[in-house]
Parts: sequence; structure tokens; C-alpha cells
Amino acid sequence: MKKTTIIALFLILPGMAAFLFFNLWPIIYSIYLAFTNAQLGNFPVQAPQAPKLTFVGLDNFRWILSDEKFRSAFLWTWLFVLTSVTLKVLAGIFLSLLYNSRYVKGKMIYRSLLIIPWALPLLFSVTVWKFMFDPIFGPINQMLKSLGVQTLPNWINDPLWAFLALNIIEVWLAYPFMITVITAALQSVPDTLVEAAIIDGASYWQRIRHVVLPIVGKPIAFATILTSAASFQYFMVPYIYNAGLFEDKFILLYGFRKAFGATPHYGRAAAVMIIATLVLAVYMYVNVRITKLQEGAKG
Amino acid sequence: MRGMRKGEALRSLVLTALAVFIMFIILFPVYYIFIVSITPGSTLATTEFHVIPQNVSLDSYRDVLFGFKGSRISENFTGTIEGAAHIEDGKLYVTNGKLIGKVKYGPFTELTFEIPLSSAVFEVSASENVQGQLKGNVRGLFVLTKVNDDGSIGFGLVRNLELTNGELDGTSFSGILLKGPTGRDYIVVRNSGKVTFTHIGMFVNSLFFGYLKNSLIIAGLAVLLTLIFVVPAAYAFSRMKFFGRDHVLYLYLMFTQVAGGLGIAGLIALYGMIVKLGLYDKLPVLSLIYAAGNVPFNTWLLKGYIDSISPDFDEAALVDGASYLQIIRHVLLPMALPGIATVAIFAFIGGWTEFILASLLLTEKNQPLSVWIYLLMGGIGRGIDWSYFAAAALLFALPVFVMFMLAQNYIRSGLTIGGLKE
Repeated sequence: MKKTTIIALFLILPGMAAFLFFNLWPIIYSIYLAFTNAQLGNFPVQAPQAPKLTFVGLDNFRWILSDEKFRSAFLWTWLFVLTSVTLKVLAGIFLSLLYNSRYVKGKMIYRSLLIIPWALPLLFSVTVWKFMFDPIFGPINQMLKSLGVQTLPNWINDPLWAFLALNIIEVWLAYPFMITVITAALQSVPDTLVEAAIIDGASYWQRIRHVVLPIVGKPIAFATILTSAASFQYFMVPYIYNAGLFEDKFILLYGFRKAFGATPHYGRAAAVMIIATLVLAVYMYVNVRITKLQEGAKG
Repeated sequence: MRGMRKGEALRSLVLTALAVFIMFIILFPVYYIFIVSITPGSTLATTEFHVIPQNVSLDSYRDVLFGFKGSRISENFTGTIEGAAHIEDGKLYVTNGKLIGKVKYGPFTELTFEIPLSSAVFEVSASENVQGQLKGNVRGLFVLTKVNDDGSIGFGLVRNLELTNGELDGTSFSGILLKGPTGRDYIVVRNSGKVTFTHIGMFVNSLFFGYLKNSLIIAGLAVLLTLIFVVPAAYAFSRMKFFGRDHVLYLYLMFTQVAGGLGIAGLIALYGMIVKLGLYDKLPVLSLIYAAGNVPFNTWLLKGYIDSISPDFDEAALVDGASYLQIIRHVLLPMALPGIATVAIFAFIGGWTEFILASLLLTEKNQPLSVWIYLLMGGIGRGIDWSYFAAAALLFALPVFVMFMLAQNYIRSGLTIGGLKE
């Protein structure tokens, strides 16, 4: 080996070792678990009266495919990706256009204030929103009540209203990221190009369609892919918001609750996670290929 | 020309108003939780919300930080009384007794206390004179203004004490307290007895600083370990060409993108590993896990930063005969300081806010603030009121907020890593 290779390996080794042991190895280990009957009693420590930890082949995967709740979680997760990503992208574009408009005065102040949701811990933000959506004390229902709404929605416990609430929360959590990416993209559009289009007599929509969109399209696509991956892996927010209600609506939460819920079955939980990861990997791979995102990795 | 300018001004006015309005809506939740935190707890549900709060109080913050040691507890209770007693002329004389009470409703649900009763006189319904061992049920109002560190009652009062159902030597009766040990119609407790706050009550009686200490240990150690893992590696990836470099970088990048699902998949195995290795309930282990999790993303981040520093500097040092370690220490480290600071802040925020692993791998006494906040949320309405929770949550969020704001430009460029490159 060359000298630089040895030195380089020495430099990356501590991080690599920690990464391999605490990140990669648990994943390999849980792939193994997915093919066993690991459950409460025989994992992590074997209890005398519990069934022995054995290899069960594809049993867990077969069980998952026949499980009603898993199917529900799978569909709802994709539904959430669809709704939340649409909302996030639309909100991101709208807010970026608004807070970049030359008619808006004091843009810098708004932009630095709008970053606030990004600066807050997720746990804090979600609990704040849980308060906002509280059916009795929450300001949203209080406001609806004062507007004369008769049957107030139960944002916490009703599946559909809570799902809507999660979409709102997700938009709120993700818009700073979307604004940052889209604003940077918008600012990279040369003014001269737009002015030239105006002189040529292009209308507002024509300018957007033929001048701005080709330039900002790629960063927006990039942000959309990243944010859709985040939506697919939605776990913390439903977990904090109402873990019981969303158990069969978000695939990662479903897997987590299988492992650490009332009746732990680690093998099945690991199998759920593996399926989720494979689906996500395929989804990301396809998207990365389409948009050539991996070019960043060659830097 | 004038009309045009007028139109522009109108447009500007409308759009600016819209921008301000939307910003207000977006930021309203944060503002609201702040207002709640400085509103006295009991007024929350009954009064209208005021954009500018009417009566500001910092009580909630004081309660979170130092516990309820002020004149806070005044709750109805039910309980039992027992002790040696005799009845004479419709009066029950209790000597050498004991009063045990439990709060059933309100913010101090499940609070229990025990008070020795040297003497007490009740007016009771019984007429015959008997003597023996008293057993009875009581209810009343318990006022607590000071708790000593050893759990004894510093100063407290029992008012409106009523014997609902007493039994003494076969006769049963009921009545009200006539005279306490001091001769008044209430019982004064001073540096005696015992008061216990149960699970939620214990949170109420603030362990804030205990949790804060755990959080600081976990997050601080996570920062240190992350820097040890990330800084040398980022240098190597940025400056050296070696076998496997691109593969490892690609692995790291892919890992940052699918980390959520994989992370939770790994959680199951990680939990098993930690328990099997006997590392359960150890703070440094948690930091190590966080630091390991920080490696892929932060290595990328810092590599990107070092890439932007011209290699002329370290090449010049290399020509001068400096070793790699010397180059890192004297040339790159000072120049990459903003990037390193960003990594450190990320690591700190990560360690400070994580609560899933912390709640799985730590027992109660070692848990950090984040877990406490999560548990507090479950206790709202059952011993925790909203203003108390809001104050605790804001105190928890504050360091993260400050750090993010200080480093936001670096963090922004870090979070959108690679994405803006054409």
C-alpha cells in the first residue's frame, strides 16, 4: 500500500470504526433478526420458559404480507408522501416567490424570522403543535368555536383530522428548507435574462415557463426528492403527536411499535424495517438516476 | 407615469401586508407557547387569549427551575386517621395519632403526606363514652408552603378537617375538627411529617437541574467524540487520494439519505447489543452512539468546507517539511474553524434533542431533558399544566435556538449540502 493510503486510513479509521460498529453492524444484525423469531422473552436475553431464538426463514415476511395493518401503513405512508410533498413544494414556491418579490419591503427581516421553525428542536415544535391542535384548549379549535363552528374537529384522535394536522405540521417543519433551496435557485437566475425576455415582449407566465423554470427546475427537483424521502421516513412527528393512532399509518412507526410497543416481536419489526428501507432505496435510486443527484458525490 | 407609480405603491403595500400576515400566521404557534409560558397556569382555560398578555408572571419558569417550594400547594385531600383516642361528652380526643392524606384531583394528584398528631379534638355524633384505638376516614384541605430537602414538611396546614367515618371500640361516628395541637381549628405542621410526590409529582417538584446535567454530559461528550471522528477523516477525504475513498464517501452519502428507516431498523439490534454487552444505562455509551451516527453527514459537511480552502496553504507547509498532523493542527484547523464549529453545533443539538434512544437505553435517573419533556407532555392535565409545560419546553429549546441562530449561515449551507452545485 502507498504511504498516503496508510495515513489516510489511519485518519478515517476512528470515525469509520464507530460508524461500522454502531450504525452498520446493528443494521446487519437486524437483517439477521428479521429471519428469526426474536421476540419478548428470547431477545436480547433468553428467558428460560420462552421459545428458543431460532431461524424461521421467510416467516416474518410472509406474516407481514398477510398483515392488514402493514398494508394500511404502507398505503397511508405513500398517501402522506403524496399529500405532504405536494403541499411542501407548493408552499415552498409560494413563500419563496412572495419573500423574493421586489414589491415586498423589509425582506431580510422576514427571511431571518421565517427561519425560526428550523432552529427549534423537533420535539419542541411537535409538542407546540399538539397544543395548537388540542381539541379543548387549543387555539385553533377556540378560534373555530368563536367563528361559530358547531362540531369541532378532534385533531388529536380522529384519524382524518389528525392526518390533516400532520400535513400542516410537516409543511411548517419543512418550509425553511424549501425556501432556502428555492430562494437560492431563484437568485441564481440572471436578471439580464429576465430583462431580455421582458424586452422581447414575454408575458409573466411565459417568463416563468421558459426562463426561470429551466434554471430553478433542478434544485427544486432535488429538494422535492429529499423532502419526499423525509416524508416516507416520517416517524418522530407521528410518534410524538399520537403514536397509538398512527401506528398503522406510518410504516416506520408501525415497525417501531412492533418492537417497542405492547407486544414486542423484534423479528417481525426488523422485517418491516427492511422492507421499508428496500422500498425507500429503490425509490431514491430511481430518483437519483433521473436527476443525476449523485454528481455531488464526485466532488 | 404617475398612475403607474401609484399602482406600484399599491401593489407594494398589498404584498408587504400579505408577507407580514403570512409570517404572523407561521410564527404564531411559537409566539403562543411563549405567551402561555408567562401566563399564570389556572387562567389558561377560562380566559380569552390576548395577543399582548394581561398579567405576566414568571412563576412557571420558577416552578420548572426550582420546583414548587413557594406557596403553591393548596389541595383537597382524603385520607385516614388513626391513633389512641377516647370519646367524652360528644367530643373525640385523639392523642398520639397519625394523619395520612392523599390528594385526588388537581395538579398535585397522587401527592401523599403523613402527619403525626400529638393531640386533636373532634366534635362527633357519638354520645356514649368509650376508649380505644381510633380508625377513621377524613377529608380536608392541605396547604403546603415549604418542603424540606429530606421530604419532611417544612411548613404546612390542614384545614377544614372532617371525620367522615370513624370507628372506636365498636361505635361509629362522624364529626369535624374542633381543636388541633395548637388549640385552633386547624393543624399546623412544622418540620415534621412527610410528604411524597409520586411519579408525576416528582417531576412537578423539579428535577430540572438533574436532567440538565445529564443532557450536558451526553451532548458535550457527543461533541467531543464527533470531532475526534470527523475532523481527521474530513481532512483525509478532502486532501488525499487513496484506495476506496470514493466508495466510502458514496456509502456515507447514501447512508445520510436513508438514515431514518435504517436508523430505526438498527435501533432494534442496537438495543439488543447494548443490553447484551452490559452497557445499558451508561451515559457515555449514548454519546458514542450519537457521535457514530453523526459521522456520515458531518464528514461530508466538513469535507465540503475543507474543499473550499485552497490547497496551496497545506502544500506550502508540506514543502516546508511539516507532517500531516502538523498541517492539520497549524494550517487547516484554524482555517476550517467555522466548519468545525458547525459540526460541533450539529453534534450538540443532536445529543441535546434525541430522546428515543435515550428513553430506551437509560433508566429514569440518567435521563436527559429531552426525555423529561416528552414524559411531561404525557402528564399534561394529570398534574402538569400547560404553562408549566410551556416554560419547560422553552427552556429546553432555548440553547438549540441560540446555537442555530449563531451559526445559521453555515448550517444552511450544510443542510443543503451538494444540492446547489450545478
